[in-house]
Amino acid sequence: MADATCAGCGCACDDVELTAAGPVRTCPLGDAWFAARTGDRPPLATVEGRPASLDEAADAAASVLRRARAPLVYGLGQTTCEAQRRVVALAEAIGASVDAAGSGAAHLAYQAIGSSTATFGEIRDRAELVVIWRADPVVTNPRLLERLRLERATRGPRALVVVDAQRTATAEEADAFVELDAADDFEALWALRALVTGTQLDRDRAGGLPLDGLGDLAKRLLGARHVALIHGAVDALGARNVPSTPGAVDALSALALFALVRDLARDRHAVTLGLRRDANARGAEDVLAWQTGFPAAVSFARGHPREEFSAATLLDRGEVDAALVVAADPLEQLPPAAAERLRELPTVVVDARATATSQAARVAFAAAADGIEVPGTVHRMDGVPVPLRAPLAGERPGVEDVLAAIAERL
Amino acid sequence: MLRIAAGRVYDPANGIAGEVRDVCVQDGKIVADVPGHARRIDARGMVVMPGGVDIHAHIAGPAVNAARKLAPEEHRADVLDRTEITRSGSGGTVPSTFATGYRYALLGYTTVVEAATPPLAARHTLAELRDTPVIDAAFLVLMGNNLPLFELIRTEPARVREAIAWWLGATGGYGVKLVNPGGVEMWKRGNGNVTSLDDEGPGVTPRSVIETIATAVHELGLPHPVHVHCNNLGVPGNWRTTLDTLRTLEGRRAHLAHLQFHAYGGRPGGRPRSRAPELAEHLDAHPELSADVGQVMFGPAMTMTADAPVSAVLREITHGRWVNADTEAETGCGIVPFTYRERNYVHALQWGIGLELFLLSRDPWRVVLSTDHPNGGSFLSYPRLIRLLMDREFRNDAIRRVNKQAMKRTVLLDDLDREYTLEEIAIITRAGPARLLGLRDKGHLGVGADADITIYDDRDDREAMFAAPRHVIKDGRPVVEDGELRAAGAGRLLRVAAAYDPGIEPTLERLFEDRYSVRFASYPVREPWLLEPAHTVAAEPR
Repeated sequence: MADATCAGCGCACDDVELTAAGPVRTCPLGDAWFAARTGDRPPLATVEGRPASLDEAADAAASVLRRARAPLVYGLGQTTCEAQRRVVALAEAIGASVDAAGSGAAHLAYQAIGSSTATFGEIRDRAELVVIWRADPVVTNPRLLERLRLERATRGPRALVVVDAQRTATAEEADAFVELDAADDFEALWALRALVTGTQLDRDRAGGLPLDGLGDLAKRLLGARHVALIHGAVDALGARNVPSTPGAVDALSALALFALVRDLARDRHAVTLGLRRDANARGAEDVLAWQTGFPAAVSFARGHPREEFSAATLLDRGEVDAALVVAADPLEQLPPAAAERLRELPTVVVDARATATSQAARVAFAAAADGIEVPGTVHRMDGVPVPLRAPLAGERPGVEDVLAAIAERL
Repeated sequence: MLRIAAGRVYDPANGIAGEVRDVCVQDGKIVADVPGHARRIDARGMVVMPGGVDIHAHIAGPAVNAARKLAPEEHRADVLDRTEITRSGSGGTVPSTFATGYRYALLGYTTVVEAATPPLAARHTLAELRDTPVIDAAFLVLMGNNLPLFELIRTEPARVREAIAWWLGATGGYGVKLVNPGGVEMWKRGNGNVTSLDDEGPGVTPRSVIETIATAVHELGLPHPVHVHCNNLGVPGNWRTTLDTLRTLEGRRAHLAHLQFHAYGGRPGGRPRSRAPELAEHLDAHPELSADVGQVMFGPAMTMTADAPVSAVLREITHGRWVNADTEAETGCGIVPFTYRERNYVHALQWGIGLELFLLSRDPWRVVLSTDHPNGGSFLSYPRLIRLLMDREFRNDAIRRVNKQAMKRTVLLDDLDREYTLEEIAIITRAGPARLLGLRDKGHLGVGADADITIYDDRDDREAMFAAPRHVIKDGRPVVEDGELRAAGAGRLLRVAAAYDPGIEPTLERLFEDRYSVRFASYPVREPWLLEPAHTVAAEPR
């Protein structure tokens, strides 16, 4: 039995134990995370699908990346900050574009007006009212409600309100549910800004907004001394002004949400928390920001960091000629067209598990698993650095070691 | 081995003020002599000083990084290309980590103290420092709004000392920082702020926090005394709080951060005026006390502070971007981009108060240079600040340009004739900060000191001189030659070793479980890759 930190989602629960029978205190996501990284493991390295030694594979990987004129580096969110800093260094060395998987577009709203945030403990101990806006943590981050003490049995007089298009599993836990189509996010949040600052709304002009539900929510917001708004993934607006990921908040609505919190913060304490699926998505953003000054997709093609289109856009436009994928499965994650383009490119994958992408890759490394065989740090979704432990000893090189082996051959 | 030959040496800690002599280096240290075949830098006509030591700046950690993410426009406008020896990056008021290390080195600074890290985020600060090349760096640990410590102050004040030593060991920190003690916690609760040292606040008064922690740090004999950002930052009339704080600290060593922001007369809500003369006089009379100035420089800045309620006030002034980030049980954080303008009464007054503190203080060893980077301006503005101090004509020209009403509230219109000498500049930028930090191997050029050395061309334009040192030596290795970066290896973490009674751990664990969202076992930083290479300075308990 050994202490462990689960890196199955952005909650990074550090109270987990790993026993011979499996992990204890994990959720279904955590169980799946452990299962995919223990037991039968793929060979350490493959080149064109054939098992290879670390040296052979590193030679092959370096040769792919050396030849590339417009390489893409993708992933990051499921490995440690220690490995991420090496990934960014490698991307810089080969003049690549680097995009963290699922990095989203929250930074656009953040860069426009800033935001107010808090760590788990603050929200757990202080938020009298928690509003979950278009997110379903019961499914995406199963222990979040427990960790924020928001389950019915534990939350006492604190109130939980869910705003979403349909009654989600999280909505079942809530004191109130406001049904709202994703397309109405911006208008609803702007209407809430009006309501909490005492501006009358004209019901005739409010379109499809559920004004009763919003009015009730506004009253709750005004009545609480300490509120937290939890939101899910934020996406840039795609075609026809809807987010490219179903169920995501678009960047403009995120701005409205941050603005609402800012309005509320004038007379009470108000904070937001953005949910993350990948355990170290926040770390990827942090490492990119400290190494380059930019938190999202960056290109090193010109020798210095520049903001870049997302990986999906670059692939769509045919602006990538090779890829290094680190701890991610873009063939499953990217929009189909971009995934198809990626499938045609020479690709190097460094991951702890076998994925669709690693199986299709020219060179694939199955590195030791972060948090199981290799220690390191992840930044929880609220920014708190949490140590990953290494409850199982392993023989394999870790992600960092593999990246170092590739880098020294470039 | 290296001989820096025949430069004009300013080494105030060893009583050397402009004497022409050689400085010899071997194995990273200053030595008395080196053989004739040692490499030689001809420093004739040049000025030789120890490497610069910045006692108070914000260069790494979650607050700094939140500011980086907030200001992409600054980074777009100021990019650094990758070279054979350097990583790429970007600048602005909050540069990327690599750019921070390079630019400090190019400025002749070799040691920097990151002034505010939430202990819960120590790993983040350490990871950024690991990516901040060349310079040695230490960080101060935020303890002025810490809930377990509040509980100990209430119930077992005698054990605060053990707890603080534990916290320093658990984080890799160098010293103890108090920021608006008690006030940030009140604000996080949604209860406003504290306004005096005797406000009941969060169950403890600011005075009890200051007294207990200052005493603990004093008794632990940490190399750097308690580093205090007083209550009421920026509030007109706050000089009384500052004076009250100084009186409370009396009899113990203490350092006040960015004194300029705490030196305002007037009434809350009204127009501030200067109370710099009174505070300068008080500091002069109390040799156990010190301060860095926190000079405001006109132009762009990035305010970032653990004093989150102050940022909320600034938000209502700028109506621009605002970031707030609460850290459970420990601290707050606020960020507001800001521009100081010459014509603005308040900004000009702040600028004037900083200059007054420099020009009226009689002991440069205890009132040292800072801009509270990037709060009052970037560290890149230090050369201009040095010229303001050294060049009376330059200063008077500037005084005539800025808001006149503000200048009337200062003594600057009296044409103060003081001009800082090179020796005094060497004191306020290296020897003084090193002494206040208790870094015995830094800030001087005596035998055995770290061979961190900066060599300047002796130019009449002191701004140009200090902006572009000719050579910089770090640990005996040339890192800047002829004004260009030539090497960019890793710097060291400077941390403190303070013994504590392990009996404090179960107590802290009990206080910890209800207040944090990580386990007690996850909290202490033990990862060698985050903590090394380090230089550890031992506390000397009293």
